[in-house]
Amino acid sequence: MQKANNPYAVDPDEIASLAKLRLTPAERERLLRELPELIAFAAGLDAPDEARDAAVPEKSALRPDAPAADPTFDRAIMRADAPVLRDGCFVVPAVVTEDAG
Amino acid sequence: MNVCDMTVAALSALLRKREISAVETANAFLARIAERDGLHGAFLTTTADLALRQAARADARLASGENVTLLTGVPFAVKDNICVKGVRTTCGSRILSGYIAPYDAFAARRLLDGGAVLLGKTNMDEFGMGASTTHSAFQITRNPADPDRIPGGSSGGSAAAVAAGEAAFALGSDTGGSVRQPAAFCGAVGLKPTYGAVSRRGLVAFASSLDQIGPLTRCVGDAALVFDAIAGHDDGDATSARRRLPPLADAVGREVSGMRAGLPRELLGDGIDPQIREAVRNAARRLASLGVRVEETSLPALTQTLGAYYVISSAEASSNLARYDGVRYGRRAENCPDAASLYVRSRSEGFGDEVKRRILLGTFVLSAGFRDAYYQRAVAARARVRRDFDRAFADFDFLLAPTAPTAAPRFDETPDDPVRVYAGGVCTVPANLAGLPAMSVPFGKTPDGRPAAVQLIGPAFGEEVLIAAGHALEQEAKA
Repeated sequence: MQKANNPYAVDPDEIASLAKLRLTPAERERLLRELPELIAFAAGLDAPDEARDAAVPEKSALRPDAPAADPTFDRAIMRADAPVLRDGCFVVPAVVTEDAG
Repeated sequence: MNVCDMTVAALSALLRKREISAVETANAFLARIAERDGLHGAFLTTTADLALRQAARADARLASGENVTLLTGVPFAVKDNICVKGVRTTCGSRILSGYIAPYDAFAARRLLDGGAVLLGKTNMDEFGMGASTTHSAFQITRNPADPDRIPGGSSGGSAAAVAAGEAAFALGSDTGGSVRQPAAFCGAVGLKPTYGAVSRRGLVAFASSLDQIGPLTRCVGDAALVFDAIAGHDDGDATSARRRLPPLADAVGREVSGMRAGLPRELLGDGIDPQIREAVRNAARRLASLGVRVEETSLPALTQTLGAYYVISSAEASSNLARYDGVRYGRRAENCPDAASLYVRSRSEGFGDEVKRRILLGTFVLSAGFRDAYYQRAVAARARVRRDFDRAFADFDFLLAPTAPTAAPRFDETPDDPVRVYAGGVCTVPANLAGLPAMSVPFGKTPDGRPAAVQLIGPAFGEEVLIAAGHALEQEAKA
């Protein structure tokens, strides 16, 4: 694609693949138009500067590595919204197919 | 006065004096919803049977006098990204259209344990991404002040429900302004707490470092009551603050003379509608008449907040929404030959345009070769925003600013261009980036009759200051 129209070298198909999304032709065309504008919006941010941008000290948000006070959820509850179950397991189509190299 | 138009405080007093029952109150609100929500579209799910059972239990508590709280018997609504056990929770998305929450969010649980009565789940922009509630997969919501205008978003359903008297109060969530802006547009009070003050357990994640649950109410005093009920430490949320906050209700009516208020000039520039700028200036004059010292100030880092917000929030959203793959819950595409196509098709069929846009932007800014150029810069900008606020709060007790650059636009005025839409968050996203409390308070109307509002921003865990100053402004607005 022309760099002038796509100064940030956005490859919508590659990004969609990473995001596990499939774009329709109309979505792809819209994305080619919108993403560079959105990225330009973000591209105005100043580069980090070590002296100016020393990290704001924060206390760790991690809790102690111990079992949570609340009991974990019952499996039946967690399976209740599953689209497809078999023998109590979530069903997923084959991850590795015969075509895989 | 109809109970549906009362404040929480007034309704609670009637309930505790047994002048009205919780069942009568619930029925009144359900009748109001039946009468008006066909026009407003605030609710995605109403829970009438559940509400009446809860109301009956509330009446038993009120009769015995045991375990009675200020919210016992008070009907409320919850934004549809906050889980209530056994109730459909869609996040405004096709991908969760049939999802039934398996547990209560901590904030919802607190309200239900206190005897509040759930009326239903409210409409929202899909997964919290939007500022109009037009990005819901299911319906639009109309602004009760003018049905040709948007209610704002993403908590537009909750704001409309409160403004229309379809709920005494509501919970929303605020990642970049989604409680405050719809509150401003609909003429309600909207409070975004300090990050960590209210547990995020049971709030479906959009951007985990920015999301907060907050109340939408008819008055500042009610916001304090609801905040007091939902705030507090939760072991189930690793980012939940351990800090014990004093009751916010004690700050209502507190003297404001001697307080210091700053007006950040970066939030009063040319991008702000003159009618809104005048509302803020008028609020500043009224505060000054009450003995508040008001001065202009500058937070230069605020010029970078929109870019930082959209990079960080989109990056976090792309990660948080990776869980929707058709396997454990949610919409599942049919006839997929392999796992890869299951994930891609379920997500592509289930997500709307705005959600896809944000996921793609977030994926891009985190991808190899671009992370330093975008994500790391955004993180650095966020640190600068925090430092500017810290410096400001050395000189001021709170900051006064617009909530949004304009009052509520008409549906046909809402821009298509995402950059213009995103620019509408310029006044609200700074508080999210810095993790600070902020509250929108109605302040009169624009000359053309739309609700106007002002925003107060406080230091971390400084909600008391916002309640005191917000209440004072609210009384001035009525005068």
